[in-house]
Amino acid sequence: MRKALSFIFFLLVYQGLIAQRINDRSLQRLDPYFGIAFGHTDYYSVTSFLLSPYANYSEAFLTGDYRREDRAFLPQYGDGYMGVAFNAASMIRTDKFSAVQGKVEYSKGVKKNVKWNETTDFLLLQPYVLADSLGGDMQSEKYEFSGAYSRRFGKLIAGAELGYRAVHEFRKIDPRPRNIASDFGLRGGVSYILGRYCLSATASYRKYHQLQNVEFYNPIGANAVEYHFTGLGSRYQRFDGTNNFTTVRYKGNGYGLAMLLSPADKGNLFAGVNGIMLKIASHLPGQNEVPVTELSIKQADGFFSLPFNIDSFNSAISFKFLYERRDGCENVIDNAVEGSYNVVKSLQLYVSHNADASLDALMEKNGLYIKPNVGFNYYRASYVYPMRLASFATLRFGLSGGWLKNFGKWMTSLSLEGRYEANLMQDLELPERYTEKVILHAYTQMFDGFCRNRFLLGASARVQTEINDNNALFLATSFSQWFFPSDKALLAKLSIGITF
Amino acid sequence: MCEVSFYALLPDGRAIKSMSVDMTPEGNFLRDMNTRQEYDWPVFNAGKCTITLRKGLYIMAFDTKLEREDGTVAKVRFSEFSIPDKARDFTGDTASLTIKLVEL
Repeated sequence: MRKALSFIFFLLVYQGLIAQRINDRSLQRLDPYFGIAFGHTDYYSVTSFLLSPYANYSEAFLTGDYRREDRAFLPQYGDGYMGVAFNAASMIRTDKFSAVQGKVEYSKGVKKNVKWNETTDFLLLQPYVLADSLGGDMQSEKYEFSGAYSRRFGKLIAGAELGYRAVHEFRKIDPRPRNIASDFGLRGGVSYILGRYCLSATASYRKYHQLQNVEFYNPIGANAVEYHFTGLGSRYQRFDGTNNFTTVRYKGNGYGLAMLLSPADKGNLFAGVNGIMLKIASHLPGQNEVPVTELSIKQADGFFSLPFNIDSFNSAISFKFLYERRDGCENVIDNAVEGSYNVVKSLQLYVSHNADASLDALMEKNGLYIKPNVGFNYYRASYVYPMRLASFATLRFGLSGGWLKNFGKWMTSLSLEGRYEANLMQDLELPERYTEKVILHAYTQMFDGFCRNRFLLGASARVQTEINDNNALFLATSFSQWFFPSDKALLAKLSIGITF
Repeated sequence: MCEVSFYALLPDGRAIKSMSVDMTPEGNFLRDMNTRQEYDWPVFNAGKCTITLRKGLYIMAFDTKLEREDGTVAKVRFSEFSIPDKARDFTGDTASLTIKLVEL
């Protein structure tokens, strides 16, 4: 136990005493022992990076990204992706009491063969998305940045972070959705050092907006039908079609509160909880901005990590959980006799629950590590009337391992991962009478695809060489192959960059 | 959900024994205007029937035959709420509607 406690103290002084050369600093960033402890803390606290052991670090890199699925796992994101991205990230301690960190990302690519979705940020906005019956490739472009500042005043630490993400997606052939999404986030928080531990509280605010417009250029006419989905294959059929109702605006606001307990001196337990509430309404700008649906997302998540030592092994266990509930309301809209669409009543018709828990363990010695993990996921979504239901449960087991080594001017990191995800149960009930045949077929196929047992095999590597004490070039790559009972999916990335 | 009671009324006020609506013809419908969901008209007994509908705005119409209490048969039409401009809202937990039939 004494070793474990001294480990934390070691982490806290590590930045100033050891991690000076760039390869040392990179090694520190990649070290899974640091990662299992500090990997979560930024999410739960806007001030935690100031107390983290990480040394000043910056990197900029270009990435080529490739995904190819024989059968789309989530057709709403297509069966493939090909794109490039530029990323830059930095964490700098400006003086003894303050630090800044930030990151930027620009990515551009093509999602291949997207089906049953035309809306950007499908996973955020589902089930209320606009979809067409045809599908096709979607061009996607993303800009994202965030910046944070944290300062210490004795035992009190204050911090703030601002983030912005903009996404532009469009299709070059009919049907032609053009979506512009912007996502603004602001976090502010304080921490207080209480003996061995530091307790942090962070409040967050989020503002989301997306304007979506679908057009058909073919003079012969539209080649697809537009659907306003409302959950599990149900639709707001009054606004289906290709003429007047294909412009949708999503507007939302959200709040969150997170708490983090992390070591300040000789403690060694990390624990965090976070609660988020987000409401997003969809409007029809062409119909006097009448709100059609409102989605209320409530999420609670948390973690704890406990680093400790067994003999000469650096060890740790980490537990994470997440629960998300979505409540969806559809508005009853009047007959617009006077040309103005008005909401008569709001009906709560859709609800979904998603629960996920995972337990990770880590053992590391001399740069070699193994990391077994086990996880469980349960999902249930239902629609009140006509009754629709989808539920499934998945159990996953995984083992990853790797090796990190600094050879002086050269540094290398290799890792391998295997994971099996087994479907424990699945249930899909869609009313045939009230579901269009093509949608019923598509949803059944999608659900079956989503509930397949699967095995993941992945490998990643990074090679880095120092140009001088403060600058290095690196090349990183990762390959993952998903094996399904009768098909496969390949994910690959290749990055080249500098770190300083 | 909204529990709706329909009361059918003949122009001359004579009592209705039973009435059922064949949903096959396109002109016979009980439809949620927003979701376009179709419901089957229930059988009217003694001129009355009850159905549970999703809350919303409804358009409805039918042509059918009914049997009066005296055993005579009449061909009737109901079309008062057949177009969106005249949609009827059933947004409470319960509702009732008098169906004013026209004899054909």
